[in-house]
Amino acid sequence: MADLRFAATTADVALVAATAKTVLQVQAPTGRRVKILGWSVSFDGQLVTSEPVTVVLTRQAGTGTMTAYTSSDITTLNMVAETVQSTVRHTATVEPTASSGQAALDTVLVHPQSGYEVKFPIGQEPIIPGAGYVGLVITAPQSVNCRSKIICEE
Amino acid sequence: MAANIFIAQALSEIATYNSGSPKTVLQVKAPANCRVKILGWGISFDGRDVAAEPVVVDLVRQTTAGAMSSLYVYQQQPYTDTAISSTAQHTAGSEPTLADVLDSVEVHPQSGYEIRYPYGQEPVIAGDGRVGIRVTAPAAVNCRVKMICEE
Repeated sequence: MADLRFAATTADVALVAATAKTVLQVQAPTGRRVKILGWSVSFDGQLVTSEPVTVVLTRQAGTGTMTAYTSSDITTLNMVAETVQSTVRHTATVEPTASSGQAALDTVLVHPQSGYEVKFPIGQEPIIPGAGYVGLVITAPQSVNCRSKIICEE
Repeated sequence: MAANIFIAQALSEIATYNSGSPKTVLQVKAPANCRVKILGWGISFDGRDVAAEPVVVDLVRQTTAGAMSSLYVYQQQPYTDTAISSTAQHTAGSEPTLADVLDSVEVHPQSGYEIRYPYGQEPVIAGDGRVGIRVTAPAAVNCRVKMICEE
């Protein structure tokens, strides 16, 4: 971990009502641990009486079927010359397998007219082990679009 | 306290309404002879009524377990050689005994509340002690709840 910080982000991802979807996933490079510095999600809902959305940051065991970003799609935050080695995928059409044991890192209910963001304090960041996966899995009671991001450090 | 961070969290929604009386939705118990830092905690609700009365949420010291269901605790930075020794439980059917209130807040049931304590200002659970999150909901609503701790 040498201060190569990057943000994996999505444009609007459509969520189908009552269907869990991994909207964003980060895979650490083989032999390299990655720190999760923070993450966020926000929605474009317009209905004040909508039921809040379940959001879980969780370890996963594979990729499912997702769209992979190229390195040029991943924004480094501190303008270093090196290339991000992690792999970022988004918008699962087939869900990744959940990791067994020690899987869930965070969970929250979020109203679809709003959002949620956390920056982990120094020393308290969850770790993705080498070649491991962490994804953001969202289950919305009603159809809505979301934007999400995971901020990491290699 | 040696940087072994864990999160105790409910991964399904907990019904909070207890006829207007307090209900403990989460409790963490420190191991014997080992103090535990509370790094932060959070709660969020699934309410849909914009005119609903806010829910009272308390962070409390408790002296007993009450009657609750056990809850798995997740290491935030796993792959260490030391397992978590603290235990957690959720959803009291019989309330634990209250000792002290550490924090209290009103939260609208369409939203949530979360705090991460500044370094050096974290509440501490004494060895073999218990801290719970207690909810007093004026009407039926479900919650997700979590407490982030360090052994």
